[in-house]
Amino acid sequence: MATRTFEKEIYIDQKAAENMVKAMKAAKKRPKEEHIDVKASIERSVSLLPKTLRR
Amino acid sequence: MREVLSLFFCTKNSDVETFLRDKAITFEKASRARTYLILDEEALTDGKIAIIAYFTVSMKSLNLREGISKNVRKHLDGLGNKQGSTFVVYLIGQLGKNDTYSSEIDGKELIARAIATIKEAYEVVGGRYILVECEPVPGLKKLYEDNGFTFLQESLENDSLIQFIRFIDP
Repeated sequence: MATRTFEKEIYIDQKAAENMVKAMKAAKKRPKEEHIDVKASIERSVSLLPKTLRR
Repeated sequence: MREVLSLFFCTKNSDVETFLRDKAITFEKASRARTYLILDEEALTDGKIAIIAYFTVSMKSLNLREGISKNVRKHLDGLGNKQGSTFVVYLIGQLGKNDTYSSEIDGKELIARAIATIKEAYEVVGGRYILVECEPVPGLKKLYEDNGFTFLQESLENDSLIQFIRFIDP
């Protein structure tokens, strides 16, 4: 993890692009993931926050 | 809020710590990224805020070099376009656990939450890939590979980082 990742230019060459295609194929073999209800989780946390920290 | 964020410690990676303490709010206000805090629910019910972990997500543009074959470009695009020179992906820009509560969450759950959050955006606007960049540490490589990421490349800048990519499946 690096803050500069947000800023820097990232270039992709043939080999990396092929790796992206590999990632696509790997996704098809991946087992179905457990669903996480992000909205419900956020709403619950916000409801417990002190009012001054809610937005 | 800054006081709360100042209680986040990550000795393994000072950038993860510094980002949350000093930059996350600026990035949030500028809408350059969104930071999600994972809070301890027991502490919250007691009126305290304990940040167990956090992650920051954003968008990133990948620049495709000229030498990439048309066949590969076609696959990447998803609609058969062979001419594109940029490709937009979601980015997990930061992700880290608080040293104080590191046993409360594991890396797998943290990544799962980051992916689930990106999938909310994916449902609304689409998108095809998630990018993450990390230090070339064996434990981190394994963590991302075990969670559906594929090695993309070593960073082309001299920063010793490596990049992983994950195709978003519905």
